[in-house]
Amino acid sequence: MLKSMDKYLAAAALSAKNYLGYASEVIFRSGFLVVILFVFVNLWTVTYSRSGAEIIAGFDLRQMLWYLVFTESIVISRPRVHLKVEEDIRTGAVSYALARPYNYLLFQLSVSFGERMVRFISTLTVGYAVMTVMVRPYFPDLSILPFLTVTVALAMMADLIGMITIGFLAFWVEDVSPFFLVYSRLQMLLGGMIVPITLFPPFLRKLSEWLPFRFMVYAPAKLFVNCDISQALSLMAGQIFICVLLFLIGMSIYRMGVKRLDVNGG
Amino acid sequence: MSTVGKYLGLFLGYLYINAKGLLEYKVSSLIALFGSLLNSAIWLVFWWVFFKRFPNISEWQFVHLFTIWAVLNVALTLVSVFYNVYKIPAIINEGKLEYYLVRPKNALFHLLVARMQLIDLLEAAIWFISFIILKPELPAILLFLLMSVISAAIIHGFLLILGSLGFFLKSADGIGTELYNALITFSTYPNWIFRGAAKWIIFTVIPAGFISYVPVQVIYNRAYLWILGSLGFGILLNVIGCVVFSRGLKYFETGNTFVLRAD
Repeated sequence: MLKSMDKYLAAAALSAKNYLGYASEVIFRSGFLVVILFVFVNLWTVTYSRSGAEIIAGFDLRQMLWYLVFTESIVISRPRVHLKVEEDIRTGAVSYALARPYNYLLFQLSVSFGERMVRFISTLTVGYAVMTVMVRPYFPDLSILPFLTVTVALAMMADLIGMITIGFLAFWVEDVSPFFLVYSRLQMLLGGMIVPITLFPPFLRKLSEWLPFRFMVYAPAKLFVNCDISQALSLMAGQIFICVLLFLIGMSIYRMGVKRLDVNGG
Repeated sequence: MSTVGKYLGLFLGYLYINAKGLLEYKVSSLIALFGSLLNSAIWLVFWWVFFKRFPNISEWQFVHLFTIWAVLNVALTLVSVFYNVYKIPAIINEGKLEYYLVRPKNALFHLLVARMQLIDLLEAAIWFISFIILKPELPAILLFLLMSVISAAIIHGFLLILGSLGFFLKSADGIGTELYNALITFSTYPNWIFRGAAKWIIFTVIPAGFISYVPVQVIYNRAYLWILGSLGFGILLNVIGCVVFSRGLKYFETGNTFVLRAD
């Protein structure tokens, strides 16, 4: 089992190595992140100060701001893997993958995961620097770091499997962008990217708890600012369940799609 | 035919061509419209949650936030009638400007009207109707329309200046995109969250205050003097944009890429 995973680990490592060459570009092109963090610092500083509350939705001001740095870094670091899958299906390139000794979904997951890790670290570095200048530095508890690393990795995997699954819809439709748009916007709100889900009114919170998005964004960011190891274990269990579930859904859609595949030419 | 008549004829000609193009790509146009509306809807849900949780955070309520989103979106759709204003650096760098230079019409005007994203006008109609439902009062509706047009002029002038910098800077496209994104982001937040230097920045370098704060002041507090201030600022930005563009033309040297027809 472990041996069969070697090729995927090698693909992820190679992709990360390739993308390291662009890490400085990611850092220099982070203008939008700087602007949005500047706005968030202003919005929440005023909100805490005017409302007179020390804790809002379970977060104090410092936690809220660092939470938002983390969620933005997770989401902004997302590569456009759904478009790659869509292109492979539209051009027929996916047919070459059928003969190769790997699982197409896992291969795309490995490649996009390697790229995403580099992008995430670059983006988080910029966010950390901006927030350190605007507020003050934050040092999470060192004991939480191994759990945080695993949680972030699982969150990204779940998200990437979701995106690849959306890409598989290209077996039926020409353009998967509308599906991804709905997915990304739901994730933005119900995943807790722009505001923690604990701020929601009950019905929205319930909806968020029923959907997988909170495992992709809210949960790792909450762990980053909360440093609660007991929460980390249950969170990881939930994330593994979501990854397996999304993988099974993705593979079912892929298999259905491949049956319809009709490639012309050589 | 008078000069104005000739230019009006050119505008109407391009309007006709672009409308035909719109009918050709109905599905992708509607998907783009859906995406834009969905994005706005998600942000409005955020603000609805925010004001539900903090109803007394300021004198602003959800209705004010909705208004700045509506004004901004209608303004952006009006700018889309001159869609090439977003593309000026690319047009300069990719050898597409030469096409307009050899034509007998003003190059800037010709370039601006050559490409229109008319599906956006449908989005404008949706925002306009939403505002009417929210505030069914004739003076407010008229002021909303007026402030949307003025905001469109401000955004257009801002883009024209940034785009025309493409004559002088190779990286104008990247810088322009970052500043434009900053303008749009700042425009969707209430001005009272900004303090210190940021309060000045949103009325000067990144004039988002004219697109968010001013329309709310005019529509809800009847602060009519702000109309003149905004209008003057919008005209100023466009005049500066035209000057930078014409100065840039004198500085411009054609490359070895020459595109015969480009819009």
